[in-house]
Amino acid sequence: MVRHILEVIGCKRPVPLRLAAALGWLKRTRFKCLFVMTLLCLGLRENYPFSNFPMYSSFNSRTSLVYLTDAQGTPFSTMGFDLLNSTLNKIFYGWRRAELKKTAGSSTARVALAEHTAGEALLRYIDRHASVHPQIRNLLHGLRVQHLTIRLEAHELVLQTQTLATHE
Amino acid sequence: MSAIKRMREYALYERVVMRILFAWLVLTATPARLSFYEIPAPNGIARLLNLHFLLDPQVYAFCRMLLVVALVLYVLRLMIWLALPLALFVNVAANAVTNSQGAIQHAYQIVSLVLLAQTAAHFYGVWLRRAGEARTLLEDQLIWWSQQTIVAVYFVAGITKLIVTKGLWIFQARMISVSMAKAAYQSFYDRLDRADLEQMLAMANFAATHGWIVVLIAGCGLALELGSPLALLNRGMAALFGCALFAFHLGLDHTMRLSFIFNQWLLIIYMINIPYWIVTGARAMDRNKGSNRLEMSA
Repeated sequence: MVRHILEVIGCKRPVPLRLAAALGWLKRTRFKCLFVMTLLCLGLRENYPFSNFPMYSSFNSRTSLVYLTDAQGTPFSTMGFDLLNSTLNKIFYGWRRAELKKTAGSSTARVALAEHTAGEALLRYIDRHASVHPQIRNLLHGLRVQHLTIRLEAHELVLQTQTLATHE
Repeated sequence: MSAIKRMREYALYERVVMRILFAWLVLTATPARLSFYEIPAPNGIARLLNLHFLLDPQVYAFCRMLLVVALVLYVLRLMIWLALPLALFVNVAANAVTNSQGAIQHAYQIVSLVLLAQTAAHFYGVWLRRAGEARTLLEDQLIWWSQQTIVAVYFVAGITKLIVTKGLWIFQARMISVSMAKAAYQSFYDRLDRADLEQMLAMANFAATHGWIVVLIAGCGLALELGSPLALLNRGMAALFGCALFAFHLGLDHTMRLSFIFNQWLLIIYMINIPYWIVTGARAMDRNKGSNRLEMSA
Protein backbone atom coordinates (compact mmCIF):
# COMPACT_ATOMS: atom_id res chain seq x y z
CA MET A 1 0.00 0.00 0.00
CA VAL A 2 2.68 2.46 1.07
CA ARG A 3 4.82 1.47 -1.93
CA HIS A 4 1.87 2.00 -4.25
CA ILE A 5 1.21 5.46 -2.79
CA LEU A 6 4.86 6.43 -3.24
CA GLU A 7 4.84 5.13 -6.81
CA VAL A 8 1.67 6.99 -7.69
CA ILE A 9 2.95 10.24 -6.21
CA GLY A 10 6.18 9.77 -8.09
CA CYS A 11 4.26 8.62 -11.22
CA LYS A 12 6.80 5.82 -11.67
CA ARG A 13 4.59 2.77 -11.99
CA PRO A 14 0.98 1.95 -12.91
CA VAL A 15 -1.17 1.16 -9.86
CA PRO A 16 -4.74 -0.06 -9.27
CA LEU A 17 -7.13 2.29 -11.05
CA ARG A 18 -9.23 3.45 -8.06
CA LEU A 19 -6.24 4.13 -5.85
CA ALA A 20 -4.47 5.91 -8.69
CA ALA A 21 -7.56 8.01 -9.38
CA ALA A 22 -7.97 8.90 -5.69
CA LEU A 23 -4.33 9.82 -5.24
CA GLY A 24 -4.24 11.65 -8.56
CA TRP A 25 -7.23 13.70 -7.45
CA LEU A 26 -5.59 14.34 -4.09
CA LYS A 27 -2.43 15.53 -5.83
CA ARG A 28 -4.38 17.91 -8.06
CA THR A 29 -6.85 19.37 -5.56
CA ARG A 30 -6.03 22.61 -3.78
CA PHE A 31 -7.86 21.31 -0.71
CA LYS A 32 -5.69 18.26 -0.05
CA CYS A 33 -4.81 19.38 3.48
CA LEU A 34 -8.48 19.89 4.42
CA PHE A 35 -9.34 16.48 3.03
CA VAL A 36 -6.44 14.63 4.68
CA MET A 37 -6.84 16.38 8.06
CA THR A 38 -10.58 15.66 8.10
CA LEU A 39 -9.99 11.97 7.36
CA LEU A 40 -7.17 11.69 9.91
CA CYS A 41 -9.17 13.41 12.66
CA LEU A 42 -12.28 11.31 12.03
CA GLY A 43 -10.29 8.10 11.59
CA LEU A 44 -7.76 8.39 14.41
CA ARG A 45 -10.26 9.96 16.85
CA GLU A 46 -8.75 10.79 20.25
CA ASN A 47 -5.04 10.33 19.54
CA TYR A 48 -3.08 13.48 20.21
CA PRO A 49 -2.60 15.65 18.17
CA PHE A 50 -5.64 14.27 16.33
CA SER A 51 -9.17 14.38 17.66
CA ASN A 52 -12.69 13.98 16.33
CA PHE A 53 -13.69 16.78 18.75
CA PRO A 54 -16.59 14.94 20.42
CA MET A 55 -17.32 17.67 22.99
CA TYR A 56 -21.05 18.34 23.16
CA SER A 57 -21.68 16.00 20.24
CA SER A 58 -24.73 14.61 22.02
CA PHE A 59 -27.05 15.69 24.84
CA ASN A 60 -29.02 13.85 27.49
CA SER A 61 -31.81 14.83 29.84
CA ARG A 62 -29.56 13.70 32.69
CA THR A 63 -25.90 14.29 33.52
CA SER A 64 -23.64 14.21 36.56
CA LEU A 65 -20.31 15.45 37.87
CA VAL A 66 -18.05 14.96 40.84
CA TYR A 67 -16.48 17.58 43.08
CA LEU A 68 -14.43 17.68 46.26
CA THR A 69 -15.47 18.81 49.72
CA ASP A 70 -14.02 18.70 53.22
CA ALA A 71 -15.46 16.42 55.94
CA GLN A 72 -18.24 18.96 56.65
CA GLY A 73 -19.31 19.10 52.99
CA THR A 74 -17.85 22.54 52.23
CA PRO A 75 -16.66 22.55 48.60
CA PHE A 76 -12.98 22.85 47.79
CA SER A 77 -11.79 24.82 44.78
CA THR A 78 -10.48 22.15 42.39
CA MET A 79 -7.85 24.60 41.19
CA GLY A 80 -6.51 24.54 44.75
CA PHE A 81 -5.48 20.96 43.88
CA ASP A 82 -3.79 22.20 40.68
CA LEU A 83 -6.54 20.47 38.68
CA LEU A 84 -9.59 21.57 36.73
CA ASN A 85 -12.95 20.15 37.67
CA SER A 86 -13.38 18.95 34.07
CA THR A 87 -10.09 17.00 34.37
CA LEU A 88 -11.20 15.51 37.68
CA ASN A 89 -14.44 14.38 36.04
CA LYS A 90 -12.77 12.92 32.97
CA ILE A 91 -10.50 10.86 35.23
CA PHE A 92 -13.44 9.76 37.40
CA TYR A 93 -15.61 8.78 34.42
CA GLY A 94 -12.70 6.93 32.81
CA TRP A 95 -12.48 4.71 35.90
CA ARG A 96 -16.26 4.43 36.16
CA ARG A 97 -16.43 3.12 32.58
CA ALA A 98 -13.62 0.64 33.29
CA GLU A 99 -15.37 -0.58 36.46
CA LEU A 100 -18.72 -0.94 34.70
CA LYS A 101 -17.08 -3.26 32.17
CA LYS A 102 -15.65 -5.41 34.98
CA THR A 103 -18.71 -5.78 37.21
CA ALA A 104 -21.81 -7.87 36.65
CA GLY A 105 -25.32 -7.73 38.16
CA SER A 106 -28.34 -5.47 37.97
CA SER A 107 -27.88 -2.07 36.34
CA THR A 108 -28.50 0.06 39.46
CA ALA A 109 -26.22 -2.03 41.68
CA ARG A 110 -23.46 -2.12 39.03
CA VAL A 111 -23.55 1.64 38.56
CA ALA A 112 -23.51 2.28 42.33
CA LEU A 113 -20.57 -0.08 42.82
CA ALA A 114 -18.66 1.35 39.83
CA GLU A 115 -19.15 4.92 41.07
CA HIS A 116 -18.05 4.03 44.58
CA THR A 117 -14.92 2.26 43.27
CA ALA A 118 -14.14 5.13 40.85
CA GLY A 119 -14.56 7.60 43.74
CA GLU A 120 -12.04 5.66 45.84
CA ALA A 121 -9.67 5.48 42.86
CA LEU A 122 -9.99 9.25 42.44
CA LEU A 123 -8.95 9.76 46.07
CA ARG A 124 -5.91 7.54 45.49
CA TYR A 125 -5.09 9.58 42.37
CA ILE A 126 -5.24 12.79 44.43
CA ASP A 127 -3.01 11.13 47.03
CA ARG A 128 -0.37 10.46 44.35
CA HIS A 129 -0.95 13.92 42.88
CA ALA A 130 -0.03 15.33 46.31
CA SER A 131 3.43 13.76 45.97
CA VAL A 132 4.31 16.39 43.31
CA HIS A 133 2.10 19.12 44.83
CA PRO A 134 3.04 19.30 48.54
CA GLN A 135 0.71 22.26 49.14
CA ILE A 136 -2.38 20.01 48.91
CA ARG A 137 -1.26 17.40 51.46
CA ASN A 138 -2.94 19.18 54.38
CA LEU A 139 -6.29 19.14 52.51
CA LEU A 140 -6.41 15.36 52.21
CA HIS A 141 -7.75 14.37 55.64
CA GLY A 142 -11.54 13.93 55.48
CA LEU A 143 -11.58 14.84 51.77
CA ARG A 144 -14.82 13.69 50.12
CA VAL A 145 -15.76 12.89 46.54
CA GLN A 146 -19.32 14.16 46.01
CA HIS A 147 -21.53 13.19 43.08
CA LEU A 148 -24.00 15.73 41.74
CA THR A 149 -26.76 14.54 39.37
CA ILE A 150 -28.58 17.09 37.17
CA ARG A 151 -31.86 16.09 35.48
CA LEU A 152 -34.24 17.97 33.18
CA GLU A 153 -37.80 17.21 34.29
CA ALA A 154 -40.71 19.07 32.70
CA HIS A 155 -38.58 22.11 31.72
CA GLU A 156 -36.97 22.28 35.17
CA LEU A 157 -33.49 21.37 36.33
CA VAL A 158 -33.46 19.00 39.32
CA LEU A 159 -30.29 18.43 41.39
CA GLN A 160 -29.32 15.55 43.66
CA THR A 161 -26.04 15.05 45.62
CA GLN A 162 -24.48 11.99 47.28
CA THR A 163 -21.08 11.18 48.83
CA LEU A 164 -19.13 8.53 46.93
CA ALA A 165 -15.93 8.22 48.95
CA THR A 166 -14.18 9.76 51.96
CA HIS A 167 -10.43 10.03 52.57
CA GLU A 168 -9.33 8.39 55.83
CA MET B 1 0.17 24.63 -13.45
CA SER B 2 1.40 23.48 -10.05
CA ALA B 3 -0.78 23.41 -6.99
CA ILE B 4 1.36 26.01 -5.30
CA LYS B 5 1.27 28.49 -8.17
CA ARG B 6 -2.45 28.88 -7.71
CA MET B 7 -2.02 29.99 -4.11
CA ARG B 8 -2.94 33.48 -3.11
CA GLU B 9 0.10 35.54 -2.27
CA TYR B 10 0.57 37.14 1.10
CA ALA B 11 2.51 40.37 1.53
CA LEU B 12 5.64 40.39 3.67
CA TYR B 13 3.99 42.35 6.50
CA GLU B 14 1.17 39.75 6.70
CA ARG B 15 3.61 36.85 6.74
CA VAL B 16 5.79 38.45 9.43
CA VAL B 17 2.80 39.19 11.69
CA MET B 18 1.50 35.63 11.18
CA ARG B 19 4.89 34.12 11.94
CA ILE B 20 5.38 36.13 15.16
CA LEU B 21 1.88 35.51 16.46
CA PHE B 22 1.91 31.81 15.61
CA ALA B 23 5.32 31.32 17.24
CA TRP B 24 4.01 33.02 20.38
CA LEU B 25 0.88 30.84 20.26
CA VAL B 26 2.91 27.62 19.96
CA LEU B 27 5.02 28.67 22.95
CA THR B 28 1.87 29.46 24.96
CA ALA B 29 0.25 26.18 23.90
CA THR B 30 3.21 24.15 25.17
CA PRO B 31 3.08 23.55 28.94
CA ALA B 32 5.64 25.56 30.91
CA ARG B 33 6.19 22.51 33.15
CA LEU B 34 4.99 18.92 33.30
CA SER B 35 4.15 18.31 36.96
CA PHE B 36 3.15 14.68 36.58
CA TYR B 37 4.76 11.68 38.19
CA GLU B 38 3.73 9.13 35.54
CA ILE B 39 1.96 8.55 32.20
CA PRO B 40 -0.96 6.37 33.36
CA ALA B 41 -3.07 6.40 30.18
CA PRO B 42 -0.79 6.92 27.14
CA ASN B 43 -2.53 8.84 24.37
CA GLY B 44 -1.56 9.61 20.79
CA ILE B 45 2.18 9.88 20.25
CA ALA B 46 2.72 8.69 23.86
CA ARG B 47 1.47 5.28 22.68
CA LEU B 48 4.18 5.11 20.06
CA LEU B 49 7.09 6.67 21.94
CA ASN B 50 8.22 6.32 25.52
CA LEU B 51 7.93 9.93 26.71
CA HIS B 52 8.81 9.33 30.36
CA PHE B 53 12.07 11.25 29.84
CA LEU B 54 9.97 14.44 29.62
CA LEU B 55 8.85 13.96 33.25
CA ASP B 56 12.38 14.86 34.37
CA PRO B 57 12.13 18.64 35.02
CA GLN B 58 15.66 19.30 33.76
CA VAL B 59 15.09 17.42 30.51
CA TYR B 60 11.81 19.22 29.98
CA ALA B 61 13.39 22.62 30.68
CA PHE B 62 16.00 21.79 28.00
CA CYS B 63 13.22 20.80 25.56
CA ARG B 64 11.45 24.11 26.22
CA MET B 65 14.68 25.92 25.50
CA LEU B 66 15.01 24.00 22.21
CA LEU B 67 11.44 25.01 21.41
CA VAL B 68 12.23 28.68 21.97
CA VAL B 69 15.28 28.42 19.69
CA ALA B 70 13.18 26.64 17.04
CA LEU B 71 10.51 29.33 17.21
CA VAL B 72 13.07 32.13 16.88
CA LEU B 73 14.42 30.37 13.76
CA TYR B 74 10.84 30.02 12.50
CA VAL B 75 10.14 33.73 12.92
CA LEU B 76 13.40 34.59 11.12
CA ARG B 77 12.70 31.97 8.40
CA LEU B 78 16.05 30.34 9.06
CA MET B 79 16.57 26.56 8.92
CA ILE B 80 12.84 25.96 8.65
CA TRP B 81 13.57 22.30 7.84
CA LEU B 82 14.88 21.99 11.42
CA ALA B 83 12.75 24.58 13.23
CA LEU B 84 9.35 23.18 12.26
CA PRO B 85 9.94 19.48 13.09
CA LEU B 86 11.66 20.43 16.35
CA ALA B 87 8.84 22.73 17.46
CA LEU B 88 6.32 20.11 16.37
CA PHE B 89 7.99 17.35 18.39
CA VAL B 90 8.28 19.35 21.62
CA ASN B 91 4.73 20.73 21.35
CA VAL B 92 3.09 17.40 20.47
CA ALA B 93 5.11 15.32 22.94
CA ALA B 94 4.47 17.68 25.88
CA ASN B 95 0.76 17.93 25.18
CA ALA B 96 0.51 14.18 24.61
CA VAL B 97 1.92 13.67 28.12
CA THR B 98 -0.65 16.14 29.50
CA ASN B 99 -3.40 14.26 27.65
CA SER B 100 -2.12 10.92 28.96
CA GLN B 101 -3.27 11.49 32.55
CA GLY B 102 -6.65 9.81 32.02
CA ALA B 103 -8.42 13.00 30.87
CA ILE B 104 -8.33 14.28 27.30
CA GLN B 105 -8.45 18.06 26.90
CA HIS B 106 -9.33 19.72 23.61
CA ALA B 107 -7.60 23.07 23.95
CA TYR B 108 -4.26 22.43 22.25
CA GLN B 109 -4.98 20.04 19.37
CA ILE B 110 -5.69 22.83 16.91
CA VAL B 111 -2.30 24.46 17.51
CA SER B 112 -0.47 21.13 17.17
CA LEU B 113 -2.43 20.30 14.01
CA VAL B 114 -1.60 23.65 12.40
CA LEU B 115 2.05 23.11 13.32
CA LEU B 116 1.85 19.62 11.80
CA ALA B 117 0.24 21.04 8.65
CA GLN B 118 2.96 23.69 8.33
CA THR B 119 5.67 21.06 8.70
CA ALA B 120 3.98 18.86 6.10
CA ALA B 121 3.44 21.86 3.78
CA HIS B 122 7.10 22.81 4.00
CA PHE B 123 8.39 19.37 3.11
CA TYR B 124 5.71 18.87 0.44
CA GLY B 125 6.78 22.16 -1.13
CA VAL B 126 10.44 21.15 -1.00
CA TRP B 127 9.58 17.79 -2.56
CA LEU B 128 7.59 19.45 -5.35
CA ARG B 129 10.55 21.67 -6.16
CA ARG B 130 12.89 18.70 -6.24
CA ALA B 131 10.42 16.86 -8.47
CA GLY B 132 10.86 19.61 -11.03
CA GLU B 133 8.20 22.09 -10.08
CA ALA B 134 9.11 25.74 -10.35
CA ARG B 135 10.31 27.61 -7.27
CA THR B 136 7.27 29.04 -5.61
CA LEU B 137 6.34 30.85 -2.46
CA LEU B 138 6.65 28.14 0.16
CA GLU B 139 5.37 30.35 2.95
CA ASP B 140 2.09 30.92 1.12
CA GLN B 141 1.70 27.14 1.08
CA LEU B 142 2.23 27.06 4.86
CA ILE B 143 -0.47 29.69 5.39
CA TRP B 144 -2.86 28.00 2.99
CA TRP B 145 -2.49 24.62 4.73
CA SER B 146 -2.86 26.29 8.13
CA GLN B 147 -6.18 27.77 7.02
CA GLN B 148 -7.33 24.39 5.73
CA THR B 149 -6.39 22.76 9.03
CA ILE B 150 -8.33 25.33 11.06
CA VAL B 151 -11.36 24.74 8.84
CA ALA B 152 -10.90 20.95 9.13
CA VAL B 153 -11.12 21.18 12.94
CA TYR B 154 -14.53 22.90 12.78
CA PHE B 155 -15.74 20.69 9.95
CA VAL B 156 -14.78 17.53 11.89
CA ALA B 157 -16.56 18.82 15.01
CA GLY B 158 -19.72 19.30 12.93
CA ILE B 159 -19.49 15.88 11.26
CA THR B 160 -18.87 14.16 14.62
CA LYS B 161 -22.09 15.70 16.00
CA LEU B 162 -24.02 14.20 13.10
CA ILE B 163 -22.29 10.81 13.35
CA VAL B 164 -22.77 10.46 17.12
CA THR B 165 -26.45 11.45 17.06
CA LYS B 166 -27.21 9.83 13.68
CA GLY B 167 -28.13 13.26 12.33
CA LEU B 168 -30.41 14.15 15.25
CA TRP B 169 -28.07 16.57 17.05
CA ILE B 170 -30.28 19.55 16.37
CA PHE B 171 -33.26 17.84 18.05
CA GLN B 172 -31.17 16.82 21.07
CA ALA B 173 -29.96 20.41 21.43
CA ARG B 174 -33.14 21.17 23.38
CA MET B 175 -31.49 19.41 26.31
CA ILE B 176 -28.43 21.66 26.24
CA SER B 177 -29.66 23.27 29.47
CA VAL B 178 -28.48 20.16 31.36
CA SER B 179 -24.97 20.57 29.90
CA MET B 180 -25.09 24.30 30.65
CA ALA B 181 -25.93 23.57 34.29
CA LYS B 182 -23.10 21.04 34.44
CA ALA B 183 -20.68 23.59 32.94
CA ALA B 184 -21.91 26.12 35.52
CA TYR B 185 -21.18 23.78 38.42
CA GLN B 186 -17.83 22.68 36.98
CA SER B 187 -16.79 26.31 36.63
CA PHE B 188 -18.05 26.99 40.17
CA TYR B 189 -16.06 24.11 41.68
CA ASP B 190 -12.94 25.38 39.91
CA ARG B 191 -13.01 28.84 41.55
CA LEU B 192 -15.98 28.85 43.99
CA ASP B 193 -17.34 32.06 42.42
CA ARG B 194 -20.99 32.01 43.55
CA ALA B 195 -22.07 35.13 41.61
CA ASP B 196 -20.80 33.54 38.39
CA LEU B 197 -22.64 30.30 39.24
CA GLU B 198 -25.93 32.12 39.70
CA GLN B 199 -25.54 33.99 36.42
CA MET B 200 -24.75 30.78 34.52
CA LEU B 201 -27.58 28.84 36.19
CA ALA B 202 -30.00 31.62 35.21
CA MET B 203 -28.98 31.09 31.57
CA ALA B 204 -29.30 27.29 31.94
CA ASN B 205 -32.81 27.70 33.38
CA PHE B 206 -33.73 30.06 30.54
CA ALA B 207 -32.52 27.43 28.05
CA ALA B 208 -34.59 24.77 29.86
CA THR B 209 -37.78 26.77 29.47
CA HIS B 210 -37.08 28.16 25.94
CA GLY B 211 -36.06 25.04 24.01
CA TRP B 212 -36.89 26.45 20.55
CA ILE B 213 -34.51 29.42 20.97
CA VAL B 214 -31.76 26.99 21.95
CA VAL B 215 -32.48 24.84 18.87
CA LEU B 216 -32.23 27.94 16.66
CA ILE B 217 -28.89 29.06 18.14
CA ALA B 218 -27.46 25.52 18.13
CA GLY B 219 -28.60 25.12 14.52
CA CYS B 220 -26.66 28.25 13.53
CA GLY B 221 -23.57 26.91 15.31
CA LEU B 222 -23.80 23.56 13.51
CA ALA B 223 -24.35 25.28 10.14
CA LEU B 224 -21.27 27.40 10.80
CA GLU B 225 -19.17 24.31 11.52
CA LEU B 226 -20.41 22.35 8.51
CA GLY B 227 -20.18 25.41 6.24
CA SER B 228 -16.68 26.35 7.41
CA PRO B 229 -14.97 25.03 4.20
CA LEU B 230 -16.57 28.02 2.43
CA ALA B 231 -14.07 30.16 4.36
CA LEU B 232 -11.41 28.85 1.97
CA LEU B 233 -12.98 30.52 -1.09
CA ASN B 234 -11.29 33.90 -0.72
CA ARG B 235 -9.98 36.44 1.80
CA GLY B 236 -13.41 37.99 2.31
CA MET B 237 -15.04 34.66 3.13
CA ALA B 238 -12.11 33.76 5.39
CA ALA B 239 -12.62 36.99 7.35
CA LEU B 240 -16.40 36.53 7.42
CA PHE B 241 -16.26 32.96 8.73
CA GLY B 242 -13.35 33.88 10.98
CA CYS B 243 -15.43 36.62 12.63
CA ALA B 244 -18.53 34.38 12.84
CA LEU B 245 -16.59 31.54 14.47
CA PHE B 246 -14.87 34.01 16.79
CA ALA B 247 -18.30 35.33 17.87
CA PHE B 248 -19.47 31.71 18.30
CA HIS B 249 -16.58 31.11 20.73
CA LEU B 250 -17.36 34.30 22.64
CA GLY B 251 -20.96 33.10 23.02
CA LEU B 252 -19.82 29.67 24.26
CA ASP B 253 -17.41 31.30 26.69
CA HIS B 254 -20.15 33.57 28.03
CA THR B 255 -22.84 30.91 28.43
CA MET B 256 -20.85 27.77 29.29
CA ARG B 257 -17.38 29.05 30.26
CA LEU B 258 -15.99 26.98 27.39
CA SER B 259 -12.93 28.94 26.51
CA PHE B 260 -11.17 27.98 23.27
CA ILE B 261 -8.60 30.72 23.36
CA PHE B 262 -6.19 29.02 20.94
CA ASN B 263 -8.95 28.52 18.37
CA GLN B 264 -9.80 32.20 18.69
CA TRP B 265 -6.20 33.28 18.22
CA LEU B 266 -5.76 31.05 15.19
CA LEU B 267 -8.91 32.54 13.66
CA ILE B 268 -7.49 36.03 14.25
CA ILE B 269 -4.08 35.15 12.80
CA TYR B 270 -4.94 33.09 9.73
CA MET B 271 -8.60 33.74 8.90
CA ILE B 272 -9.49 37.28 9.97
CA ASN B 273 -5.96 38.58 9.20
CA ILE B 274 -6.46 42.07 10.65
CA PRO B 275 -3.24 43.66 9.22
CA TYR B 276 -4.40 42.93 5.65
CA TRP B 277 -7.76 44.66 6.19
CA ILE B 278 -6.14 47.66 7.89
CA VAL B 279 -3.68 48.12 5.00
CA THR B 280 -6.37 47.49 2.37
CA GLY B 281 -8.71 49.95 4.09
CA ALA B 282 -5.99 52.58 4.39
CA ARG B 283 -5.07 52.18 0.69
CA ALA B 284 -8.72 52.46 -0.34
CA MET B 285 -9.06 55.66 1.69
CA ASP B 286 -5.90 57.04 0.08
CA ARG B 287 -7.26 56.25 -3.38
CA ASN B 288 -10.57 57.95 -2.53
CA LYS B 289 -8.77 61.03 -1.26
CA GLY B 290 -6.63 61.08 -4.42
CA SER B 291 -9.62 60.79 -6.74
CA ASN B 292 -11.46 63.50 -4.76
CA ARG B 293 -8.48 65.85 -5.14
CA LEU B 294 -8.43 65.18 -8.89
CA GLU B 295 -12.16 65.92 -9.14
CA MET B 296 -11.73 69.13 -7.13
CA SER B 297 -8.82 70.33 -9.31
CA ALA B 298 -10.77 69.45 -12.49
